[in-house]
Amino acid sequence: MASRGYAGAMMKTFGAVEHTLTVAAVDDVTPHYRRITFDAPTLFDGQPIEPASWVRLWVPDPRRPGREHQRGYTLLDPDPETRRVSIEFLIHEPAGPASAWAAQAGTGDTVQVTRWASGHFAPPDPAPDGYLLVGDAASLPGINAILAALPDTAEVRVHLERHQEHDTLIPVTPHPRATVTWQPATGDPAALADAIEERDWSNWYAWVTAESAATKHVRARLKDLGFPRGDAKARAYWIRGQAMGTGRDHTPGEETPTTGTTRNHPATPTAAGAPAGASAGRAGSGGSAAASAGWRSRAGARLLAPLRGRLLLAGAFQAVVSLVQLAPYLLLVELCRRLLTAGPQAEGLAGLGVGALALMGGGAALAGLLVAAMHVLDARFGHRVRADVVGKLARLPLGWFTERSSGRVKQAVQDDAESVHYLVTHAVLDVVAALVAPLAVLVYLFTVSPALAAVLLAPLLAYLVMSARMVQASAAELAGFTVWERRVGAEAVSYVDGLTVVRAYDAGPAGGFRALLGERARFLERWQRPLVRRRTAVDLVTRPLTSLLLIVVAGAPMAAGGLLATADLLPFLLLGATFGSQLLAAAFGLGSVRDALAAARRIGLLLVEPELPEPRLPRPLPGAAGRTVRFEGVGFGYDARRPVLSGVDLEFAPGTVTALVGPSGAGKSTLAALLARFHDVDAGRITVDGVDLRELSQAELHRTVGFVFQDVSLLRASVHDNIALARPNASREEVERVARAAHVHDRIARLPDGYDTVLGERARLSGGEAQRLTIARALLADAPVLVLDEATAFADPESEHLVQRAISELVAGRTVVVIAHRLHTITGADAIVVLDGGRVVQRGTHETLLAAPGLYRDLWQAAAAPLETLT
Amino acid sequence: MMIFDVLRLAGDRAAVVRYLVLLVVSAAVRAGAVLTLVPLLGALFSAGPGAAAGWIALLAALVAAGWAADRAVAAAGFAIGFELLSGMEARVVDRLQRIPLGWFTAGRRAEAQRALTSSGRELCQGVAHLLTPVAGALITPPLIGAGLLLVAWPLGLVALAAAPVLLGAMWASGRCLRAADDAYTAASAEAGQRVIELAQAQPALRAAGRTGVRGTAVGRALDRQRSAALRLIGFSLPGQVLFGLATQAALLGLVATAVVLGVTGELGGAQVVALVIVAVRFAEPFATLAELSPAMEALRGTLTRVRSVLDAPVLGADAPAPVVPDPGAPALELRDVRFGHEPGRDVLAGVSFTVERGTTTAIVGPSGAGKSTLLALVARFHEAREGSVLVAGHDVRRYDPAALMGGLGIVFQDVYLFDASLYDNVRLGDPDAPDERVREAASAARLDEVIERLPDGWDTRVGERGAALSGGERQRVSIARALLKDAPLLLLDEATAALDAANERAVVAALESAAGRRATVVVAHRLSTIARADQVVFLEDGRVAEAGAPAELLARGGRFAAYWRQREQAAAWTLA
Ligand SMILES: Cc1cc2nc3c(=O)[nH]c(=O)nc-3n(C[C@H](O)[C@H](O)[C@H](O)COP(=O)(O)OP(=O)(O)OC[C@H]3O[C@@H](n4cnc5c(N)ncnc54)[C@H](O)[C@@H]3O)c2cc1C
Repeated sequence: MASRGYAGAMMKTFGAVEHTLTVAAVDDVTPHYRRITFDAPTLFDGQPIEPASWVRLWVPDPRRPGREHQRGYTLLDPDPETRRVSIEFLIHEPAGPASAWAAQAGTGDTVQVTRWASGHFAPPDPAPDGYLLVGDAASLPGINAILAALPDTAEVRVHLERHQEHDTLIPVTPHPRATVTWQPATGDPAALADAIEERDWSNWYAWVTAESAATKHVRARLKDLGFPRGDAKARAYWIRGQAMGTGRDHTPGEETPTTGTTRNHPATPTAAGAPAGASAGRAGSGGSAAASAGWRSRAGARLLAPLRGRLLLAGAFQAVVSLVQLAPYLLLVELCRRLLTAGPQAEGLAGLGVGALALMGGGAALAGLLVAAMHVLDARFGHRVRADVVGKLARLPLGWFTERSSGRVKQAVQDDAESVHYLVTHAVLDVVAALVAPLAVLVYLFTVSPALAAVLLAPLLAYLVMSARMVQASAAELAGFTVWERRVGAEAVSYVDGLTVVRAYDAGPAGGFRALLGERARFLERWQRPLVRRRTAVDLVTRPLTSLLLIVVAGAPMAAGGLLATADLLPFLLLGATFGSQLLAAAFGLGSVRDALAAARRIGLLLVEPELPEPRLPRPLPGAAGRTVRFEGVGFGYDARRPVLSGVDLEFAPGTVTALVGPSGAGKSTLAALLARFHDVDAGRITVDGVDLRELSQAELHRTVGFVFQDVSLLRASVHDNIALARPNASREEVERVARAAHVHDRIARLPDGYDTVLGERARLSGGEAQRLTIARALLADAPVLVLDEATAFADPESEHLVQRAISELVAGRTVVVIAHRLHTITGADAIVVLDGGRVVQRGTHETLLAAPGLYRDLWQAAAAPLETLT
Repeated sequence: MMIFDVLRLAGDRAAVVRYLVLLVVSAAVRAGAVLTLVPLLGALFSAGPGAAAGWIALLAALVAAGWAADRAVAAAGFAIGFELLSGMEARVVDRLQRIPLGWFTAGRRAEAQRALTSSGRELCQGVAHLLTPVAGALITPPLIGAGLLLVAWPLGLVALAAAPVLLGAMWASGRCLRAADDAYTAASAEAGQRVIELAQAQPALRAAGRTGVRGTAVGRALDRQRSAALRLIGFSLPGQVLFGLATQAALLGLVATAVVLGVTGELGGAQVVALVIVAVRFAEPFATLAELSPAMEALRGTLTRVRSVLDAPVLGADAPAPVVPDPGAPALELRDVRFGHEPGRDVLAGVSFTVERGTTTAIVGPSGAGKSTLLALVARFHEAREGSVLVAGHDVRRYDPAALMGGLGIVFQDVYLFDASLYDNVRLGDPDAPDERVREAASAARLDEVIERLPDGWDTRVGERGAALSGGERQRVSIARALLKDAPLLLLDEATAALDAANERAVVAALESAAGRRATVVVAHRLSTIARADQVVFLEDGRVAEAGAPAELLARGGRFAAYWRQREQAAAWTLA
């Protein structure tokens, strides 16, 4: 085995797994850029190879045989089928071991790699507005892999620095929205950073993998431009004038430090000649950290901002409490000392006892105070967050409320709010307590006897090494595990939900599912069985008794040799046996802090969703009875490139029924939704009696435009309140009147408490009944413009005639727009608008449209089904 | 005791006994090691390191023996764990196959799913990583206490008395914290529910200008949530402080006892010190228990989920020897069948009718009349409370469940598709059918045109719950499946408006083509289907209001005739 120095030894200790790659093909892409394809029989058993995944490559030292160096290289085009993978090597001048190896590599040559502690590109969630990729020829393989992985819709900027003449010949993966700029390396390490323009980079994501000094400059520049830490991933890929794998930087691509003005950094000799004023000017103009205020990724931090100070304070307080709680043990040590020196008749023993008692009481009181304070803080904060969410909901466009977004609301106000609650009331305090107490003990023990304290660290180190090795050993299974969990999870859901089918068709997936479960169990067992011994060993190492034995075995000779007073063993015996396991427990607490931060981010993201702009000065509608609605050149699309409606000009007159007809996907529902301002139009405008919808106040808009859709939403409130939702002051008589008109009064009368019955668990309404209740609601709201989904009338075949009658009642005398699914129900409409592909293709009445060839006639004929009757 | 509950799930008695014995041995060795500290430290502190050498050697030997014992315990625990791992989920599946569907509420469904996905793993980990240390921590302190009786009996007594006190404090702490969590979750769920409702009712609320928190139901719910969160202090405070306080108090008591023994001259200074240190060791396992208690809670959850499935009622076969269908008997007969989902509220209150072989019966009636429930009873998804359901001459309860299912074709309203290819989903109807028949069934159900339209054709994956297909398309898959199965009794729940008119006619024709061989019971909504039936059973309020041939019932001018007229009117309705 070649000598790999300290880094190699460390990696081995922590369980790095090595793979041998064999050169299968060599292809010179440009004169100094070489693509080597390898056979990698074992590489694919490990964790999946993501875009820009990299490996540590062990290459021989050309000058010192037997010695190997470690260099980072990016894995490209992994093919698990053929078990092949490629690496592209920049052959640079001056060469180093890696480029020299690549320059002379031939088929059949082998090289060893490890994926130990390596990373890859992980697309951030939520998706950023754009990607800024900065690097040079050496990082182009990674950047290319990222470009290939990015969605076509993402905006991408690629900034590359050219260090050698032919660099620009290296192909860049094409991407429809990417702009690529090459700039020559001038020797100024800040040049790359300076080239990043001053603009609003909010919600962009940066990936910086350039030369070390350049990377540091870019990092600082991005910070000035407002990039939050997590949105700018920077890693140096090489160092000018220095080998990557030797000296202090013995592992490739150590993350560069983020803080400090990089100008004065001693590691960049070339920087000395650069103009000194440049960076100061930049830092001032960038708007610094304040610029990151609008970043979505900061949403969580913003949400928690008001808590931060208090949580820090609470943490500090908890640290004090922990120390106070530790103090009785110190008294115990003192007690024992006195007993040893003066025997049981020593003085002041009772005093120590009283002191201990007082400290205990004091500690408990302080802890209780803290717990109570945190609960008050939490209750206030939780209330504010929920109230903010409620306020936010009122300002979001109605179109936002899809099923998926309702899920987000639910997640935010229930699960996520609970995580944050846990953070405030438990997690922070737990983590601080779990860290402070053992650390304080450790410090104390070191002051007593550094040597013996150091001995106590041995089990802790052993633990760390052993568990790191275990993690390494199961890297492959860990990836497999998530796949299995997802698969079994999905199958279990479908198995239980589909139990009727499973039973009706016995074997099938039931058998399959059972087999799947068995396979998964075998997988878990195959994975865990070999680990059992190691796990047990890890457990035993951290046992208090193990530490105790260490203390006695190491301490007794020390005491015998005079290195240590015998009495100095006391603190170790009393406090030294458990601090290790306590320290490990802190790691678990950190898990829930992480969860809570993620939860806070989700809530924060909800709170920064784009809102529906409210007019600053709402215009009132002219006081008239009937309302005329006009679409003028309306265009709209859910995403910019795919319009759903374009160039729609329509007028809906008061007292008329207009039916929207067309094949599914023609834009009927979207048109209707725009009328109720579910979304704002992209082009043109929609007016009510000449006033743009966007100029109306929300309240006026919704008083004017009402709608009845297929999906009904009843609140868990009384029937009366449900009907009177839009007019809370309505009297019982009015409510009853509309309920009768909607043919639902009789049903309500049969409910246990009539109109006061609370809907929900006990009183359930059938689909048709709920439908009629919403119609009653719309009748009471009495909006002059009404949008209707005709499918509503057929929601419940058993009572459709009642729903139909209710609808007939509702539409009388209003400006009605109806989304029609069954043509024969709208033959009597005053106007029929035929939509296709987002445009109005025909308009007229049933008779005129039927008279001429066209889409309407085709649709009518396709649907014409003779009504079959008896007799 | 939860430990035993978990172990009871394991089948291998001998392994469990072995594990328990080893647990006790390991705890005894550990207690022995701790007790060795008394003479060891006594010697060390009074006579110096040299005098303690022998005891140190003994301690080393005991610690080593403890390691060996613990390794054996771990191995035994893992053995049980792996048994649970490989067997548990299969047992859950077996049980789920035989539980009446009425048992599955939304909550239980979710529990069953979780039991299926993770119970094996969680129980395995539970035994290996949780039960072992917890049991060790429970057994060791009393053993140390007992040992102390021999060394200094008053101290032993105090220790033995402290153990239950500490356990009690821990239990109380845990209860308080759990109560606090539950109360918080409940209040939070209530507030959350309100916010979600608010999201759904936005348009109406915006019209009324009532979208804020002031004076609204949401506002009130949020206020309640805030006060509930504040009230938690009452639970949280003792929960977070009590146990720590108890531990310190117990320790203080032990130390005081030891010191008093010294003061009264019964023990020397070094011995007292040794006992103080042992007292600290005595209290240690309780801290371990407290740390593990959240994980124990989680394990309890797993256990409850698994138990709730494994203890659920099952559909038993009544007869000692399951029956075979009687070819001469009517296809289906209901005799005074009564059934309710909850006691006291019967959905079906005495239903009787007969479906002759090869005929079609349409079940008709207003919503909530119990039509779908009736079909579910025939398929034995539920059990009739009274009366009997006879399929091919025998009560469904006397069939072997698989044999009963073998004789039924089922097309229900909630069509369920598995996330597999279209082909696999149809193929379910008869896994052994040749490709040709699968294709025939598909084209009879008009599925062929769907398949043609899809880029991957037969190999199209239907997505989770068939999400990749429209309602009508899913319906066709389910019909094709039933056609392929070609069972003598077809149960059909006509899905509303799932098929358009032209396709409907074709599908009906396909279903009818086997008439004569097959009897069909259809919950019918379409007038055309009703009109073609040989018999109409009109259900109302869980009873058969009328039954007979459609024309005959129409002529009678009763409930069915009125229903028919309404439906005809509805079909001819026009808006405006
Ligand atoms: C995560 C990661 C992934 C990487 N992926 C790739 C990859 O896919 N393809 C690739 O070609 N490189 C890649 N690199 C960069 C590569 O590891 C470095 O260029 C490395 O220094 C090359 O090692 P060497 O032994 O050839 O030179 P070294 O021994 O490190 O250095 C010798 C001399 O070469 C100079 N030098 C080193 N790199 C360059 C360069 N790029 N341009 C000009 N001069 C240079 C040094 O300044 C030094 O004077 C990656 C680096 C990291 C950290």
